[in-house]
Amino acid sequence: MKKITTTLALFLSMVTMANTTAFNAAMSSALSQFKSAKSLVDFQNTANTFNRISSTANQEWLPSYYQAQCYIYMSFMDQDVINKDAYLDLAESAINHILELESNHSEVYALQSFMYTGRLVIDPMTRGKEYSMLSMVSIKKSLAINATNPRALYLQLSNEVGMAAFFGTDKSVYCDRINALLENWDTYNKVAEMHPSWGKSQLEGLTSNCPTTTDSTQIK
Amino acid sequence: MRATLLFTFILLSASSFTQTISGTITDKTGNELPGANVYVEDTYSGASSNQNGAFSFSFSDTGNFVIIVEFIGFEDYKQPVHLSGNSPKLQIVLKEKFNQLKAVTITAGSYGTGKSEKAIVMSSLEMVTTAGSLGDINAAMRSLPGTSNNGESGKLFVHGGEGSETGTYIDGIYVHQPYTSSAPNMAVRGRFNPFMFSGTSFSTGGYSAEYGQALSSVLTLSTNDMPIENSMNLSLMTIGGDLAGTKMWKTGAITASVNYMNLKPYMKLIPQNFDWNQEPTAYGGSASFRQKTKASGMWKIYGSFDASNLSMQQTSRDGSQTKVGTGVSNTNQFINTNWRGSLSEKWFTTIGASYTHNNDAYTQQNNVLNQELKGNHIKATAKYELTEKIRFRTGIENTYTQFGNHYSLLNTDIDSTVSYQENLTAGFVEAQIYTSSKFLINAGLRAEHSQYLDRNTVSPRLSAAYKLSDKSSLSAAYGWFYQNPVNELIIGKSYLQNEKADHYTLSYSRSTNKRTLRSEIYYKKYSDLVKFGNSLSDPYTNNGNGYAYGLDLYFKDAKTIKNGSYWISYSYLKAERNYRYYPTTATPTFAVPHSLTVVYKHWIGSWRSYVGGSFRFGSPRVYNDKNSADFNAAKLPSNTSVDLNWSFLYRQNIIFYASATNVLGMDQIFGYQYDSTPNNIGVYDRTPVVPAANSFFFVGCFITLTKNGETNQLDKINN
Repeated sequence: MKKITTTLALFLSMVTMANTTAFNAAMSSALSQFKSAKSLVDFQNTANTFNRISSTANQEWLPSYYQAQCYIYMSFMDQDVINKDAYLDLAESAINHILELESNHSEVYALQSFMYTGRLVIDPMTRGKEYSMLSMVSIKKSLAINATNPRALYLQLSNEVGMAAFFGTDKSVYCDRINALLENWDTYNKVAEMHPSWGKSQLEGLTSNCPTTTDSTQIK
Repeated sequence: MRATLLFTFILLSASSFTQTISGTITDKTGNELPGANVYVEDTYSGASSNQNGAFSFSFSDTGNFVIIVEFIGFEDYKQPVHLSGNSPKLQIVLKEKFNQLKAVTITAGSYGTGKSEKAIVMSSLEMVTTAGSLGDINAAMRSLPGTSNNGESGKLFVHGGEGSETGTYIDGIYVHQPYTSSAPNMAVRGRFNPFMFSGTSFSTGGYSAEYGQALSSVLTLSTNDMPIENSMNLSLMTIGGDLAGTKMWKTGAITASVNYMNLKPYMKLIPQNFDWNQEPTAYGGSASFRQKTKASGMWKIYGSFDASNLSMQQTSRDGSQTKVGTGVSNTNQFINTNWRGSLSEKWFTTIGASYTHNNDAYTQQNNVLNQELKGNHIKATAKYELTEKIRFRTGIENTYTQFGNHYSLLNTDIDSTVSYQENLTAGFVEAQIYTSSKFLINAGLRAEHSQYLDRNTVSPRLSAAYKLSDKSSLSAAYGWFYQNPVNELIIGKSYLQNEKADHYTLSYSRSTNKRTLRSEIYYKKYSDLVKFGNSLSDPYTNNGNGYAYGLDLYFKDAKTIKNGSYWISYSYLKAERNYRYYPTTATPTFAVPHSLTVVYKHWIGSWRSYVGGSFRFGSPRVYNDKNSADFNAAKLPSNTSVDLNWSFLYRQNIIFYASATNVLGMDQIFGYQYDSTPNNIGVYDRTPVVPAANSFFFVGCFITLTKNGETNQLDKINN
């Protein structure tokens, strides 16, 4: 009897291992598809791939996370207003799925903030008020869990720069914080394999509002 | 045993031959669908369809499996397959999902605002930034077609109907007293702050069987759900101030506010047409509570208390030309509560109630008229979704109204009270059927029983819409509408019956990205209107009648001008009535034949400012010249006003707001009041009905305090 139990346990653990291996293999292949995605079609296909993974491994948060991220990108790329919101609806339901699994998730709140910003830019005149608040509240939740989540810090800066552009105020006042975050990026961004690590190039994009970055390099 | 397990294990891990699952995905008409997601259930194996709708992926297992296909805008597809290394080729046809967002909507008589409505015409932010609206929902609605400006009233006059023919509902619950109180011939305002509401739907006719007791129009307001953050709001204005606080917890929130208003300092500074004894003052408080409940429900309570007071010298109309003190003081208590939730996936329920206690005390010299209104409304509705395309709604309600006139003459024994009580019970059923995303029909039936009048009525309502193209649609609405005569007429006369209006509306709508065109023609037939003679002994009957027809045009464009948007509303109205004291069929004094409103708004980033202007024109209305034999044949001058406003975002949480109405100072005459007796040369003397001042100037500062200071109060610009 004991032997059978042992064998069964061994068998089950091998199955689990096989599942984990299959999951990791599927994820790493999907992530390379994600990295090379450029067009709307590419992102749709990548979202499909993550969707296939999440429908099987539905207790894992990563496939839903990347699926949501694809849809947010697609919403920025598509020109049709109804489609834009439809993609964000899909992103929102993927994000809500993760929050049901685990409600205390710094990365997911950061992505949620990004999704709200996506809603905002569709019609800033009428949606600005509500969604800028929602976006900020999500960032606060993200930073409350992890104060140095670099993506939350980037999105916060991006929102503030966007707000300054909207109000026509000086965008260069954020440069010190942008440069400081750039310097600390690699320290803050120590994440496990396959976990979200994006944001640095987007952050570098924000420096275009800054006079030059030579000052900070000279200090170095 | 071990051998069996081992064998199974080997079998599981060694099934490493490969087959290819391939095929094409099309819609019903054979169009190839790229980007669809095809996979084998419970595995990671799958692919997306390519440009030609074709897909292909390898799969290294045998047995019974389920193939799943998912694609945005289409229903999920599932097909069981037996895989035995046979490399199946699948021809998959997806069925288009019915999407209400892309389906046709009924636009006839309907102007919706807010997120839930598809035809967004005006958001609450737009309402308060519409120059001339001064934070009043009704004034903002008057920039839409089908309405007219009646400066002496302030209520909503729609499609040739009187202000009393418009009903107001909050979250589906009736509001007995939606307006503030004012002296006769002085405009009232809506009681509610536009920013309490996330959606506003304004109907110019042919509306749903859910609503009754409104001959012309309903204004349905949906209150906000959960706030986003805790906050404190402080408003300082030239005419007063208010303070509000919001505290939220995980599943609920509470908001409380107090306000005080006094126009005395302002009216001392700006020349007034009226000779004030007591400039308008008001104070009040409100609290609202929101709690998420089971069954994805939301429970809301809103309660408010308000008191106001004003008094002025007016010329007596008894021919003596003496000045007499005239005043009104009001107290109002209002509670509205409702719960909505879904008992199952297909059943949606709402239950709600309201209570109103309103007291108006009008004084003129020694005469005191006290009007007391007590009312409540209880209502329950249920919606059942048979399929995505077929919905049924039903509901029952009871509306109680107790209204009393208490008249007394100071220093005498004269003291009389008359009052009446009405219990109005009603029920409705309604079916909404999409035959396709192109055609929608909405049919309803409403039954009402009035206890006071002892009458039953049944009103059919029918509307339909047809989508002409992706951007344009045609819709029509028809219905019978009943309403009890107004309190002042019905009191003590339970032998009267309901007044009636039939609506016929045809509407064409065209929307492209950020541009909307709407045109509407309508015909309205009034019957059973209350009629009476000039003498007190003349009987009251329901022999009155009337009609109205007209054309509405609306064009909104938020595209052509960068950072700017404008809309143009034009209404043509032809109306005649023979009702009340009218000796003959005549155009009513409130009817404005041609109304034109142009509203413009512009965001100037470098000034951090939102500036706007509006131009309002109303062609001459008729009035009755008592010195002429012809009834309602004299004409008032036309009414023109240019209004401006400016919001300046000093900080993200501090806004300065300035507004001016009628900046050109054009004369505003809304009618004439004639003496009851002629003067010594046999002529009736008169004075014009004018506003308190031709122009109104307003400056305010709105401060919002939150933890992170990012929110602002642009949505609180009201007064």
